[in-house]
Amino acid sequence: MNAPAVDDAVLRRFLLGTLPAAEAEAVARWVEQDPSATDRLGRIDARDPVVDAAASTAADTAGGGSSAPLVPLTQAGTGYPSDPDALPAVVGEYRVVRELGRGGMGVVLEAENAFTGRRVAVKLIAPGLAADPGARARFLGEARAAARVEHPNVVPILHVGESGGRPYIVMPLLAGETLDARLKRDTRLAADDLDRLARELAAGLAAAHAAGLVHRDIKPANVWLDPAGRAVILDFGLAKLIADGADGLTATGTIMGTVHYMSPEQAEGLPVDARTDLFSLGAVLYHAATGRRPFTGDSKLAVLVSVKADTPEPPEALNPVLPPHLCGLIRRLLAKRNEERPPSAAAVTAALDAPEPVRRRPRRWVAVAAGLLAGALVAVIAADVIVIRGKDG
Amino acid sequence: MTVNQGRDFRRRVATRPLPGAAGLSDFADEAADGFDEAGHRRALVARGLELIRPEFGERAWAAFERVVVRGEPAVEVAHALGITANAVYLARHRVLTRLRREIEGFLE
Repeated sequence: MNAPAVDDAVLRRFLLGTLPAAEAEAVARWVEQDPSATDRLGRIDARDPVVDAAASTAADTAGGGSSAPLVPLTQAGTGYPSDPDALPAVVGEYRVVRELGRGGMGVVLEAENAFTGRRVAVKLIAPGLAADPGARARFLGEARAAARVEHPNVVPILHVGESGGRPYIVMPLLAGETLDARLKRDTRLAADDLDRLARELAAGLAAAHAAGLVHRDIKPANVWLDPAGRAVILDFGLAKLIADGADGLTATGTIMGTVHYMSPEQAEGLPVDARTDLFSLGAVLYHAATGRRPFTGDSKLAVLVSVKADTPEPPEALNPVLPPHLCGLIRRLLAKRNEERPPSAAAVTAALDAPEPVRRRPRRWVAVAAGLLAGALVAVIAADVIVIRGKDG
Repeated sequence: MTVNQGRDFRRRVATRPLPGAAGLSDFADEAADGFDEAGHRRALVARGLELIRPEFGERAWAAFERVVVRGEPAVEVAHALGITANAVYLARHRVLTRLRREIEGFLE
């Protein structure tokens, strides 16, 4: 292929990452196909303040991580494929059938137990995340703690192990779909489904929190809906692996993918506790109730700024038939400060089970509200009467 | 709601502490002392890299990290990772392009 008629200035912008998309595409194709591109590119000095800033982040990374050796492309004797992106044929006692999906933390495989033939889902952690033995050990500890949680709204973990140096967890192969897929299809949930979702997620979170786990990545993609509509929370214990990741870059963040349901304290990189999951629960319920995410932006950073600073439009304004008790709950869950949220998932469950909202207002306000309500009822009744009279008279 | 946000976005960004590597309020104190632009840029870039990392495969990210962050020669990086030097340059281009899109609007 002939080199495009590009001068060094264009190539410099290519290396800086400032070349507009159309031009960059042409240059990229040339770079992919023409071996002589290496020489030309190698002679160009492409630095600007952003590149220098990136270079200076090297100083922030701890001794391990970036300088730790990558998983070698060939691992002789382990049966591990030479291309880390290829799928293994076997994981533990399971034979890999096919890939189900891929995410930032690893790949999910459908596999079959070699002895029983039972079909399962195997989540295999990405090699780069598992390179550090300390991170591996922490992950396995977390996954084993998650495996001890037995609750209808938390995905059962059947097995935790290591294969070819990569940790993996085994879960039942679930029928159904993620809440993410459901919302893409239906935009939002009806009131009954929403109420059920809130109860079930709160119950699942309460069980896991009681076992000392914090999810850190509650989002629609991590909520599974089985064919009966039951909500099951996926991936407890896994986001923490990324938080304690092998290199300094991920040490402060739990940046797994979408940031739209993260809590303000996560956006800040501050320590999190169980109440972080409650904020994310609020964001998920907001989305399911209104068909819209509560916080948006043109970039992930912009979304995080929004999480920190913006108050979302009240859900009842976007969905007038939203049950009032859910409006109030969602608002409380989305409190920026964690001490202003419900104190626990168990408290959320209790609030949902109570026939009336938990009384937080002074009695006087309740009396006034009751009076207004009574007045409204009277007006409705009067309207009925008037209509009837109108018909007759 | 998104439209309203867009209008106010730049004003809001200018008046509140900007994102840093450790957190969004990293530079609340620094702003009082006088603005450390290079430090701000470094923290912004570090945060941006964290956020975009899940979008790249292992080797592409490793290539970028070595050639840009650690400043290793592209040919050596290629050899270490078992890919071509051209692939290293491509990875560099893709990550930096994505990074700039991510922090656009936060760099003044």
